[in-house]
Amino acid sequence: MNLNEPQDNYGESGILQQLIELRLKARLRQETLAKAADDHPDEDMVNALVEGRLEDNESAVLISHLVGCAPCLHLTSELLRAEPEMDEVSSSAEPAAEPGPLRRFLDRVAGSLAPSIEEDAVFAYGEKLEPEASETDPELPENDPK
Amino acid sequence: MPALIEETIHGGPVLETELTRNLELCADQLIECHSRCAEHYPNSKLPFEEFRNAIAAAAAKYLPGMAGKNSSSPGDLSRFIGQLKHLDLYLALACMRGDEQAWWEFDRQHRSFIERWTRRLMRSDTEADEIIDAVYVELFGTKIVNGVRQSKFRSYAGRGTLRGWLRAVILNAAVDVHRAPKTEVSVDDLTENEELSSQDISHSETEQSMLTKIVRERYRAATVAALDHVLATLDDQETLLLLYYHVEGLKLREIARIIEEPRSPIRVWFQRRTSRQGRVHESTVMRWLEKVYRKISDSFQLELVKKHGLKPEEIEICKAIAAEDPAHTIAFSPFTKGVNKKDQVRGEGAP
Repeated sequence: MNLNEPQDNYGESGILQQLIELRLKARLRQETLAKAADDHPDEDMVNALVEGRLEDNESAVLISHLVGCAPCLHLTSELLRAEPEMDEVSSSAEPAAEPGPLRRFLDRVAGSLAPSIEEDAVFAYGEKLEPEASETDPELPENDPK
Repeated sequence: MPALIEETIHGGPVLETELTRNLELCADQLIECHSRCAEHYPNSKLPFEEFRNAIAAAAAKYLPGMAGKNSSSPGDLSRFIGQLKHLDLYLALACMRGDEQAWWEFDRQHRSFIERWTRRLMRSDTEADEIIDAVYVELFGTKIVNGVRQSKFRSYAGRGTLRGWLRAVILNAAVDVHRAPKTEVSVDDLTENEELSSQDISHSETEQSMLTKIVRERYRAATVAALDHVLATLDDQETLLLLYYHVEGLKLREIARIIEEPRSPIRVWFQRRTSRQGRVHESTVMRWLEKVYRKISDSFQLELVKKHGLKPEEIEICKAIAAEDPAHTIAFSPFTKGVNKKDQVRGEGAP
């Protein structure tokens, strides 16, 4: 329970709040145990709820799931806890000089996959291409049907 | 026999009936969305068909739930399409098909965030690097099923932002790393231990203590039953906000975030409850909480009187017993793998 928040403002509510907290936890446990392990909404839906992008119907179904599912409730609370400043989009035009996760991943793929796997081989061995080079890549579709 | 749209986000076939017809009616909207994305990402060429098929699959999956009925109109579909994060979806789809320029763009936009967010969740840089690498591997997809690489991007449909989705994906990846088999505990033990219980009893019980125990048990049972009854009458939204506050320990300003989102259904519900149309501040949430406590308290006492036949002095005994119950010190301990793992992550990484 958070300190310095409402519990001091309502007489006996300290005890009541303890009781509420205990019962909420106990109920959440029971309901979580009763749920199937794979019966959870995907990350896109959970995030869309936190971002306020779901319609009433979807939101109602998802909230009904959250109040009985500890892992999903926790996922949404962590998303809410995230500071908005973390969302700043990187303004640098190019990746930093040190090997980043994409480079590490590419290096790993290059070291472990056989070049005969066409698609991965192109990806693994390709250096960052200039736009012109990319446009002439025979692997890519030539026309845009729009 | 109706034809099938074979490929969906999650692999299930979709009947080509109403949805395909509606997609044709929304063709101009789709083309417009696609060309705007293509203009935004000129170095990544995502064929229109792939873009349209991904949206068709997302609509097949989500539209019935969104519309609240099995059939949906062209208007429903158009609204659904309009609400998607097109640019994010386009980039994710281009990455999914292995477009190298798209990957570098993804890396440019999100790498810094992925690193900061993961380092915030994990206790060491080494662990964070492991998670980051694992997330990139999962996003790329190393497994190939029926000639299709199983990229994690396949599960992104553009309902929310790509950034928010990544945040959730990383959280789940962090939880997986923290999976600790040694914490397995018998479910029976835990469900028994963590109830409001009177287990703190000496082995050398006298007759008097036995009587006390019986009386206490009666009041304890009435307290629990009455409170459960009242909690069950709350709206899911009310319960959710109480869970955020009491179980998850979110601060009021963090709870306010989910209510502040302009289009959030929770905001609409909250505004109806509080008759407040403007911005939702921490103080608004606090006042709402106090109101809920009063409501629960009144209903709780009424329930004890009416259903359990208790007198006011007995209600006080109930409260006293509950207040001194040893179980009130319980933590949200490992009764399931998921909860335990995520609690560890939160405790160690998040502020």
